Amino acid sequence: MIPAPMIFLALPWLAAAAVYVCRQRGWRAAEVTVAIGAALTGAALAVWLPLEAAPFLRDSFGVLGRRFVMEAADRGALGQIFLLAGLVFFGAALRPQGRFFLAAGTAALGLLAAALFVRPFLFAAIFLELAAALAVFMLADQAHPDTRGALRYLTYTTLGMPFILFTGWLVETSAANPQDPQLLTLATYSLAAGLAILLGVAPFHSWVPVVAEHAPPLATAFVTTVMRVPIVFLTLKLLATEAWLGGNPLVYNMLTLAGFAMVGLGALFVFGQQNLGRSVGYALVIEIGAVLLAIGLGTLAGVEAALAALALRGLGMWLWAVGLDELRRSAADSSFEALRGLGWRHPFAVTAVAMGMLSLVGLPLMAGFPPRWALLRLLMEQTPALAAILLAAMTSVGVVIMRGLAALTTPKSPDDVIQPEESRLGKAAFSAGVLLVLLLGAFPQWVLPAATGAASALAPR
Amino acid sequence: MTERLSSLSLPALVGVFITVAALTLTTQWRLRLAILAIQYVLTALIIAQSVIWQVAAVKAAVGLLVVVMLNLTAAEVSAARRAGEAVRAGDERPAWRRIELQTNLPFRVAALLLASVATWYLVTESGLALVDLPLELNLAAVLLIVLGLLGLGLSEEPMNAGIGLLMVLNGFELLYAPVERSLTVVAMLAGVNFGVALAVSHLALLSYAGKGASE
Repeated sequence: MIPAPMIFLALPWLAAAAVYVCRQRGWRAAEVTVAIGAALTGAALAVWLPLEAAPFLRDSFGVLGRRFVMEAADRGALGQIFLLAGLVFFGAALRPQGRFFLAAGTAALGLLAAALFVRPFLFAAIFLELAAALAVFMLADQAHPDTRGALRYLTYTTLGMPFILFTGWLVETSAANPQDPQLLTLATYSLAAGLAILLGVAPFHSWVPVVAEHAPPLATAFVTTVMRVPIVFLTLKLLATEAWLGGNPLVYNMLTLAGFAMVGLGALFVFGQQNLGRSVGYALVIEIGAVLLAIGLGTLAGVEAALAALALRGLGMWLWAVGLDELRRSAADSSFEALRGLGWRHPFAVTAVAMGMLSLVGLPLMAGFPPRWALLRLLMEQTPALAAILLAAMTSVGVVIMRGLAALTTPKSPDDVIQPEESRLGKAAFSAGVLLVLLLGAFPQWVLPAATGAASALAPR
Repeated sequence: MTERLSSLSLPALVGVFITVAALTLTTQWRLRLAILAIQYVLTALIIAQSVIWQVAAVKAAVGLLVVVMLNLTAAEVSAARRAGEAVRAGDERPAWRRIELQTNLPFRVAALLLASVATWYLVTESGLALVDLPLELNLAAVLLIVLGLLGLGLSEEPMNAGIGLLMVLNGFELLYAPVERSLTVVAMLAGVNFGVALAVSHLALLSYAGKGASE
């Protein structure tokens, strides 16, 4: 019998090897096709693999005492990881990326799947660390040699891992010494520290704006969407399955506090930004803060809002990334000054960037709106002050987007004669992305049931 | 074997202190990598009193391979910067006098002393030490973590920051290996070390390629 988790581990690794060979041989079309094909096949298998019905499949396998188990609740996370990765890889079809971009990205998918499957859950930290080491190859390349963002990302992920692994040991020790409640308290703080570092909770958020400013936009989209899915699911799984954690009200207070800190800090810092990359970095800080606020509510509705935000954020980020990737080819960096006037030369790309960011903010009619609206309503019922702060943060990002748009559409000189210069494929992709963002904003029911399907299994008991 | 190695733990601890001090105060990559290699062997000697010696040997081997990997990167970068090296080739001073110290040396010396005192306090007074583990192991681990973090905070240059990161990982493994004895975890942590070293090598190469292009 074939262990189902093995399929999701082996498929990306085999595909990554094929992608690398294609790259070395200069077969660009094949390279992109294999990467996208592997990602979409993984997404399709995550949703439709007949785990219970097929007699040739089993749901787990073991390696030297550690088990890899695929559960129904994992399907949503797996589907999101592979689908979002497929979108990012499609962006690489529009514009060539660094030498290792597709191979490293495809291989990382196998490690992210392993992070979802491994038991005990806490060993996921090792796979997340390995995936982060691979992601470094995407975050810095010959065209983007500034290594600060990649180094910070690697550093923070590496520093987060020990806390999570120690939590596992503390929990095991506590099970052997149930008379010592101090151990579980320590485990709670250790896990909170580890997850805070991995999620980029303030003050461990500094890599996010730096990555968004210096790394290739598609790589930024990959690490801030695809790589974040297993961390959020790990958090939810632990809250749902570990009574010492999920049953502790202090944990929800900590989540709310972390969410508040991120939303407040993001709102404060994004306001003065003059750089499209850093702006989206702080918008992402606000976004992950909103997800933590949703989880911190400790309700099924909160978990649903968090999962929906996680899924729909990816589309906005992708649109921003493909648009900015196009603009960055004509500008030295992503500062408003460097991008000035490019709206005339790349109107479709600029529209994509703006719509992507507006969706990320959660503006009405955008894909990001339904989960943001749901969260605002939940917060209004419980803590209206938090809802007000979240609204202020959204406004703050909105102001920066408007300033950015003003720069993008103002020529450097009034005498400039600027002709649009976008490829047909680019125009079609940007238009399709914008249309999709608007359609999902208008008809969120198309994807929300799938995105929030695992919520009942992951809701706090 | 384990008993014989245990008798070396105190000298190894002194050695670890000397290596972390040297890593904090020097700048030359090749020298730092040689010190890092010695440090991996010394930490393996310390850990050998708490785990079976084969695991300690594996950890030493992984550390040495990591250093080899980084050394190859350093060689690659040096080749790219041959012009700079040619200037040094004319230097008549003996090798030991050519050792470069950090420009902010007084600050680093002060930080090293403070970190050492903080480590002693954390392990012996604060109650944060893992009580089931030997004092030498606790001291070496915390020292590596504290000074690794210091190194990370003081440099954004990939190779130097990477060495700091590897020191932190090494310190963590000193504490974690005796409490989590699964061979899978040993193997996965070895993978993490290789992954970090590979990523650091990639960033170091890019960093110097970028500087070369801009010069």
